[in-house]
Amino acid sequence: MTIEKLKDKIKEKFNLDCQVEVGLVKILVPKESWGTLAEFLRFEAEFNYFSFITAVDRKEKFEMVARVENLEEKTACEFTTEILPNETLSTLSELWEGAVWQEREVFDLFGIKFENHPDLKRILLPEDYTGYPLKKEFPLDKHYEPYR
Amino acid sequence: MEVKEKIPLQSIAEIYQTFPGGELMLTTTEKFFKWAQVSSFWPLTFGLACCAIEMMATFASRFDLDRWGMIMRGSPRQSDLLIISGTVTIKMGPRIRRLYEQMPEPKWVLAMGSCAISGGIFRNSYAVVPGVDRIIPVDVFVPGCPPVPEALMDGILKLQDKIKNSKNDYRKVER
Repeated sequence: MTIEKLKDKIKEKFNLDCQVEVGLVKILVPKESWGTLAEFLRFEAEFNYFSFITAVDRKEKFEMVARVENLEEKTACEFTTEILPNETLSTLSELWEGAVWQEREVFDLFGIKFENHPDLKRILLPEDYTGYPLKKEFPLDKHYEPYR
Repeated sequence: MEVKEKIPLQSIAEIYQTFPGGELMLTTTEKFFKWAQVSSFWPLTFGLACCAIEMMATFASRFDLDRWGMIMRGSPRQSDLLIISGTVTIKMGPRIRRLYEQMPEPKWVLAMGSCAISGGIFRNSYAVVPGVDRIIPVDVFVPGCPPVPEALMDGILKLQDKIKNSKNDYRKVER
């Protein structure tokens, strides 16, 4: 599926406007259609490679950014949504296996929970770590308790 | 063996000198052990970050620590010197502690570079131990980012001086 065709299809199916760059589509989706859009990208648009998912702390809300790629056609799609700090998001790990560790990392550093994730626990930090260090509210000079 | 009558040291020396090529050296065991310890540090092959590159250069042919009897050992059970060369993350902390505990006594620790000493530029990071002395006791701190090989060699010589001039046979370590 070419970029132009993908743009039209998303407009028709989800009524969302895309920003198109060379080989890349950027979409801002509402939180409710996060899962259905991902399913569409995986099976109909055939984005077979999961690049990353990450979060941006905007203090009053979190911006969730995910990027998937189609390695045959060399196209990519970056889809973004906004959630409140205490909200959860549906997992992408059922569509792309590569999202399992990526979502664990987002949970580890931002504290965002993913619904139906198979193994949502800390991945980089020790299991007894308190707090989520990449949040803006995390104090800068706070050291890990055993080595304070 | 029980010595019944005291033999003067002079007569022992005379006995030895009757042997062909016989020589006698008198010293205290403390001094003798210290001489053996400082003459052949066996550091653990253990690199953590970019300081390890400088450490490898120090051990390679240009600076050649083998002339001080230092060779890298692959197991902590064969080592008596632990060079902390780089940033210590909080997940590496328990592993360093375990490696230290696996080393036989007597053992020494050299903290190399500002990251190992205080956390360096990563001090306020959520994932870094602000100084390896919070995990294990450190004998010599070598500052630098990273320290040049000459600085590391100077630190090793300082450690040799420390052992030679120490009052106790074995360091008292608080556990």
